[in-house]
Amino acid sequence: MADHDIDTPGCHAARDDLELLAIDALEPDRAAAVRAHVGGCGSCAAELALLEGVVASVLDLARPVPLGGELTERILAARAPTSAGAVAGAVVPNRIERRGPSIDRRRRHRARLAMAVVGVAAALLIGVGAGLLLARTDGSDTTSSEERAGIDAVRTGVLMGWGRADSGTVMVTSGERPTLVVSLDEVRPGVTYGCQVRLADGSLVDVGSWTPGATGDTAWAVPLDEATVSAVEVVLTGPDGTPVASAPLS
Amino acid sequence: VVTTSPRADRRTSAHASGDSDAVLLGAVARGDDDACRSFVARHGPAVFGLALGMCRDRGVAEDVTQRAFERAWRHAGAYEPDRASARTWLLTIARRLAIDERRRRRADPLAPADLDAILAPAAADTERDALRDAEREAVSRALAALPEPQRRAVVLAALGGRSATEVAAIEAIPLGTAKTRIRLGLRRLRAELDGEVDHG
Repeated sequence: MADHDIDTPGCHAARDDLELLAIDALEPDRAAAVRAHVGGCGSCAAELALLEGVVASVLDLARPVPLGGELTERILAARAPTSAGAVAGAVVPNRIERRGPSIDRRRRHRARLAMAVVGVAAALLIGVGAGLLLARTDGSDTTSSEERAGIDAVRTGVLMGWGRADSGTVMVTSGERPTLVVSLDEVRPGVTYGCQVRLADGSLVDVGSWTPGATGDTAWAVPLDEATVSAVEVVLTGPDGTPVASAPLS
Repeated sequence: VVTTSPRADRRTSAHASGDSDAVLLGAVARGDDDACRSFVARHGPAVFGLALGMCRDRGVAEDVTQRAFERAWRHAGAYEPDRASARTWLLTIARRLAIDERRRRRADPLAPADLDAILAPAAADTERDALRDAEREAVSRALAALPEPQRRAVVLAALGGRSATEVAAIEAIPLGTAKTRIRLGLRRLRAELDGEVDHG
């Protein structure tokens, strides 16, 4: 940190916590605040990446423990459904594929929500309030009456990523079909994003992963369950599992 | 990085020796069964050892290890070898999963025996690799050069997955002191690894 150039006023507040953030030792609320600063500060982001590299270098000092045949086979068995999706650059199977009556219906539902969030994201970007967001969503021609009836509350957040490719908006709807919708300003086709939600107790829960296709889809909808619909923050991770953007929900 | 596996059974023969991790992961992304098995044989013990040290529960550590490899299968095609070694990438994934699992489960405080296990130097890996051994030795030396309180704090946070609050409780020190030890320890470790510390 000693050589870190201070670029923005937020750097002064964040600089002493970068080491603690890199080693995951900060309290969740402080970590979210520092990460939000890092999301918009190139020099702090670079510094954090270096510090995370130092932490990573220590990990190989852990004592290796043989896996055992059963665990090895479990690990190998777990790869079958996902490796093909990764190769094809398709949406990796996750909870969205395990719920609902049919794949086609789920896809239509996901497409409608994706279109709806575009309106929500646009409204967010021009500073419209949450009440208007609800009206915009409910009033959109892209959402059928069946879908509208299932949404009784909407919470939103702004993803602060390290670049435009990781920035955007998120929306969590609760009701009949609790859903998280992620809308990015730009995507990097072929790069798989992971998505986690932070619960009120600070724990993170994986809710799915997403590989935008060559068409450059910028919106993604993920069904949530009862345990995750009350999330307080959405965290987007890059291919190595490192958080690239986060959005507190309000 | 070229590694040699002591295992040479029929199922791993196609990828067990000679292939770099980048080559292996490329084959994993294409769904190559032998590559997946070799990748698990090469890095599984390190991942499981890290997870076990952090979670202190064999069942939970097995789940964390499995999930770490699931992520590796899923993201193999997007792995960037210029950014980090495959082992570091995989261990970082496993560490984050283990930390989340520990905090979700509100794991109990460390017993003295567990603390000793985390703080003890690593044993030799089951699979030898000269370059990796040299890198590990350099990190081990750098860590050993830290003042003892800082070394304990860094190891507890990095390998034990403990937060500053937990480090403070384990070491019976104020939270601010725990944060300072972690902060200074990591800075010093970085300087040691960069060769900036004069021991003259």
